[in-house]
Amino acid sequence: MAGGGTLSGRRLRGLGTKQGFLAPAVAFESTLGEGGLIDFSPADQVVEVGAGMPISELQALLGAEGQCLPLLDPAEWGAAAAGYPGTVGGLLACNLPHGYMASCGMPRDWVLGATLRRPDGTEAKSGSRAVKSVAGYDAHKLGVGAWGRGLMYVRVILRTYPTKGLPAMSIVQSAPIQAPVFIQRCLRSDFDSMLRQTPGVVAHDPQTQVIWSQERPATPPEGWVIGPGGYRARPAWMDEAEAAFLSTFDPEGDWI
Amino acid sequence: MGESDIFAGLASVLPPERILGSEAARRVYAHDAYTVDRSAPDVIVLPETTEEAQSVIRWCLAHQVPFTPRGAGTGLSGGAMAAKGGVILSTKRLNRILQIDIPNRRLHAQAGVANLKLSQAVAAEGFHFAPDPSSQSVSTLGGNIAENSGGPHTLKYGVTAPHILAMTWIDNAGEVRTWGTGVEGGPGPDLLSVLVGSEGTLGFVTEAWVKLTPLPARVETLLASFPSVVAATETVAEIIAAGVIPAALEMMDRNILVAVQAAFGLEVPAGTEAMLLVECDGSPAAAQAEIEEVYAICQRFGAIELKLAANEAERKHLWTARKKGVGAMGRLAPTVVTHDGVIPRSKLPEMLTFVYEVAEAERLGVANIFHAGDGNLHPCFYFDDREPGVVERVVRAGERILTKCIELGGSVSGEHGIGVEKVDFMPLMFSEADLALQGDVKRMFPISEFANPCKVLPNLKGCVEHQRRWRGAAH
Repeated sequence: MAGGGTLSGRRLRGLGTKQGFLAPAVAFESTLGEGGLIDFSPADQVVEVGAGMPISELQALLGAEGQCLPLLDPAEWGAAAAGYPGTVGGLLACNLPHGYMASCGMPRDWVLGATLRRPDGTEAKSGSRAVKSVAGYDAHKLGVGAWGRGLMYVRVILRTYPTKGLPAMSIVQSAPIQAPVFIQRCLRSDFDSMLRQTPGVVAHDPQTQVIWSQERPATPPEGWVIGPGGYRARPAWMDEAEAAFLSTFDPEGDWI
Repeated sequence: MGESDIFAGLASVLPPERILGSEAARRVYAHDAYTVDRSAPDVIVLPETTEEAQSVIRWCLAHQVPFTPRGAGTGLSGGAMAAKGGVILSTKRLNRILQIDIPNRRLHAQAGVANLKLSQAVAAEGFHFAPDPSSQSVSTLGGNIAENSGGPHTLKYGVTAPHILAMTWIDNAGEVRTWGTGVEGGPGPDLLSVLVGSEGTLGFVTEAWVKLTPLPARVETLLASFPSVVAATETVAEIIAAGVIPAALEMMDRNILVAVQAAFGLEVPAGTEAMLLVECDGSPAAAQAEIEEVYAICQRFGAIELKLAANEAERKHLWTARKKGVGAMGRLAPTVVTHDGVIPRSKLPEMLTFVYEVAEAERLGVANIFHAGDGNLHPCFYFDDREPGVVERVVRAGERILTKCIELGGSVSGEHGIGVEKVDFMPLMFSEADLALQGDVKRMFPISEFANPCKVLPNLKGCVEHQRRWRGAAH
């Protein structure tokens, strides 16, 4: 199944590290103007930054205080390093699997609050700097996994992790990774069989059942695949959810 | 539509023995664990399947009768109150575990199953359902999903949302939907994460697949007594700043300890003003190393006494004060109102000082028992609600505390939700544009003014006049 937008409309773009996972676009809107540190409280393990900030810049800033976002070094791990070395906004928008997912969860679980921009330019905020909150609807999580459609992260409040507490990660790398690749996630009970039948596997994580491959895998019985050029194989409920999201937040299809 | 018409109408879609309408039942279901505001439903229905719940919702929508979901009624913000009367849709009989899938570390259950039963069902296999609200022996899976519940172990394991893999829910147009699979993540906006924590206003969850988490190989539990609240809160900040992430980091102040001492014979060393309960878990080596570091920090910050559990029985004993603290408060006064606010944890010393000042100014008793590691405060005001004017003072104290939480960069609710209690606080935390964004989140889903009305967002249609009826109706 192919998808990922049309040639009309603009494409949000940070450092462009994950554009290969989307269909081609001709018009871009840069998110890099929204960078910079807004607040970092090491004692709270909470940081607020402009979403256009490169992850590498954020990691350097956090590292000076013994903290980090739990992401792998891209020099070694390529696509398995997820949003690194893209931007903070791209990390959230794409919500890709990463090396510490088994112990630290997904980028979805790190976002505590955000200021979001709609295609018409209006902005609003959601969430707070507290590490948990049930105050209204979690709009700041809506852009997670939306691949830059509907809502743009302008400023984000993230939970950080102590570097020294990071557990061993469980990825097994079998070949050098060159992004973009196909990324699939399946059930634990299907993992061995998916691993065997997927051609061109470059890495896999038995803890989270993620497989990175250079070639297109079969669609897992339960799960999903993300691939180059906008290739997506996903369960039907995600189509339903995305339609509800886009018809509310970007009915004109301004951001593709 | 009158109460008897609703009863008769619903009897056409549900066996009559599962429709309650007695005066006593209506009184019991007029509020949840937040008792200040009350509004009785006309009837209470007890569906046993998704299909039955759908029939009830469709009937309510067709006849313009308000309906409100309810789990065990342990919610602390009036989220399960029938704000406009009508029907309480209880999950009491949606109480079956449908499937346990150990190979895929997941469990499928109906929404009315108590949280603790989920963990008990898989304990022998070495797993548990990680979210553990203090009400876990009774509070339900559906209620936990609605409130995105936390608990003492949220600090390490997260709130409910990351533990929900899929849900079957009935939207507010009466359609059954199943969203999510056994596999998290994926390409698409994460609407499942928004549904969790939406306080039952976007739909009625009837079933869910939950993630099972392996039980830790080793658990180390430490109870530390401190000579001052400030020393205890500074210890919390230091533990976090040192890069330790305990599984739990809970605090109790002197007034809670007095109640627990009286009720359960907990030994409290002389001069104790606050206690910290710290739990570290993981591999034996990691848990050991972490608890040793915590132990040293507690010593450095002047702990009077440090008790390390030597075995499971001792661990349970050390947890007594934390687990039974709020219950023991019944000894202090006839009425207890527990507030819920959250702040960046480094602000705990400043915030607690403020809480005590407010209590003194409003002439109220206050005890604090809370999730210190998350910065999630639970000031419990205790009072005799027969005293004229006292409820107003309690409400005012709550407002001042929540305003301070916002000022410090926190939130008006850490885990209890907005419900009806905090609807008027939302504009303090969010601008008009922010609330419009939340309104649009709601509009992604079918909307009905009859579905769980008057919750979460302020100034919803027809709610202001109803609020006059229920506000402070405990009197």
